[in-house]
Amino acid sequence: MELLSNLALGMEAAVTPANLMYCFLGAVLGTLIGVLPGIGPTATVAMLLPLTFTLDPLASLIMLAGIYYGAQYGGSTTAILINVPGEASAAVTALDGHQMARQGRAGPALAIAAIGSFIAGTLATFLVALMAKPLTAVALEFGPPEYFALVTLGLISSVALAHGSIVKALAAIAIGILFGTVGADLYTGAPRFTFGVIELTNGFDFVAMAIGLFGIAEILRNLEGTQATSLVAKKISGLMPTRADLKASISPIFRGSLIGSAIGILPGGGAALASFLAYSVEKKLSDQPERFGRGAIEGVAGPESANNAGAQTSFIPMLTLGIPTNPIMALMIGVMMIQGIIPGPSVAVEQPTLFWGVIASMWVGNMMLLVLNLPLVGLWARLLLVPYSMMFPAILVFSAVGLYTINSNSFDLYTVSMFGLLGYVLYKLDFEPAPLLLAFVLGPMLEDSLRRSLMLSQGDPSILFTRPISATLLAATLLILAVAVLPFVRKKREVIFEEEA
Amino acid sequence: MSSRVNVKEVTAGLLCIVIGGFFALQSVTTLPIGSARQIGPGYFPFAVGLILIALGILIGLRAVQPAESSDRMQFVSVRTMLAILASPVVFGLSVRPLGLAPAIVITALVATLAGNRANVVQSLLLAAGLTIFCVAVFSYGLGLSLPLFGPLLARFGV
Repeated sequence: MELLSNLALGMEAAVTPANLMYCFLGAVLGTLIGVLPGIGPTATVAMLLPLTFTLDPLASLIMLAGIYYGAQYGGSTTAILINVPGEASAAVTALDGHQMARQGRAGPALAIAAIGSFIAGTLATFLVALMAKPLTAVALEFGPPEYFALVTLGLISSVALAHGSIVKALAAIAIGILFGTVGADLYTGAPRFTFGVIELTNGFDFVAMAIGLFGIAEILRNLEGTQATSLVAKKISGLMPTRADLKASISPIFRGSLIGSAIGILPGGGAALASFLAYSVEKKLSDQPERFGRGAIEGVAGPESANNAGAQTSFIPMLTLGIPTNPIMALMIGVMMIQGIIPGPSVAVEQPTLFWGVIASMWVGNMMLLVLNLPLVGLWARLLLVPYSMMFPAILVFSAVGLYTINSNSFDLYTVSMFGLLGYVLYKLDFEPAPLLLAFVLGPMLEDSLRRSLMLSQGDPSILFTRPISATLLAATLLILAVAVLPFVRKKREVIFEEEA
Repeated sequence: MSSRVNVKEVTAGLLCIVIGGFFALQSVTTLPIGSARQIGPGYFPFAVGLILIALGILIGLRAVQPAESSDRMQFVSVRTMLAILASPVVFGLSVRPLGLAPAIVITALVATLAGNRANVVQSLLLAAGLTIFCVAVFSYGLGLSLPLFGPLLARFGV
């Protein structure tokens, strides 16, 4: 069995006392920093990166993997507890996770996130080992039209997440795409919508936008009218998930792992798209879809598993093609370069120990997380008992300092306030920020793939529908849109009929 | 049945039309649109801007249906809104000239103005606590190379 011998090779390299210690240290630091509100996984990894420079290549990547998983779990924790997702993928977790926290069920939400992540991580490790070669071949088939179709599919899927109006969700996507176009044009370098502001050349900062749209808008919502003394309306009941919770979560965890593994492997897909898709699937499969957005544990289990599995398989394009699928992968590539490794197809062949060692270390990192976080769930959940009048200034200060550490750029802080106001207005008008944020991330990719497709076909748009993979993906997109719109049309007709009667 | 227009939906539609219109107009007037064969920097934002305008009109049209519930929308108070939105800006403005520690103190104090029961002693204690915590985590824990006290204060011998 090639698979087992490869994994054994990796395990042998990864599971040494020294490497385990680095992994554990990474997971502890990653969680500690990642759990601070307003500091997302990307910021956490970026801040802790320098710690790994002195280690040997494998040890530094293993420690980084620990930091990464710790940071991601820390990000999910803040998403659940105070509705401040550090990155797009955790925005989905916040939908139901935060509602659970408000109902006093932060403990089960945090525990199921850790358990789901661990199971997903274990499955994805095996999948990565099994599928690395064939899937790399498929990913290589992807040209610009396929990327265009994939991104479109992802964006339309996020509409299925919306509670309310489909039209408003589509509008939120358009707004997100438009904000994503701000900055220098990729091809001509022409500044777009920057109005001479130099800081806008690279566009709006993703973290600043996320903190504004979710964090600041959330604080404003919480401060409306008479203030509650703390975030939890009810007492925190039971830290561990009940048997019923586990039973409800097990299928979503497995489905999420599969979705996440499949999406994560596609360059450009990544963890964010995976968690959005997993949430849509769980909502569609559920007998009571109306529970979603109101604290359904499936809405935490599915996306968290998908998120983690996707994060894991997104290492494949990074390790084999040298393509970063998200900002964190870009940081990983940076570390590999510093260590003198050029990411690309040659890594798996020339340095199998490193390649498989990194894959094995993902599983080790996940296990560390479970060991570390399950006992600490109570501690994190207790954070909620702090009075809100003390909590919100702390969130504002952490967010401000954390954001400033990323780019040392005061402009990002002005961006936060701007998007905070926009987020609050959109909330008041029943628009959802989650599709907007996803569209902001995927928009540039959408434009780039469209432009490259049209260049390839010399201006003929039929290239998007005639290639088999992209045609299939676009057909799936239409299907999802139809399924999402149909009940809405039916309901509207009912309203019309009622008025006529 | 009243024919009162749903104000919220009209506002939502208008917001889309304004944002879409802004981007579409800016694309046409300041950027080359290009051709289908070689699309320019203005093409994509122009197209998406138009789509957003269309969606805005659709939202606005549906607003002709009367509102489902007539209860007034509740908003956050102006003072709270200003204090919350000002605090990141205040940090951005002060962190370089004054340094990390004073910037955190000011930001925390501005933020506490948003609360209903702003109590001076409590606010000062919170600001002090947050400053110590942040300095410990960011400056010492993470080795962030931000000066604790900035050039503006150094001039006065702090």
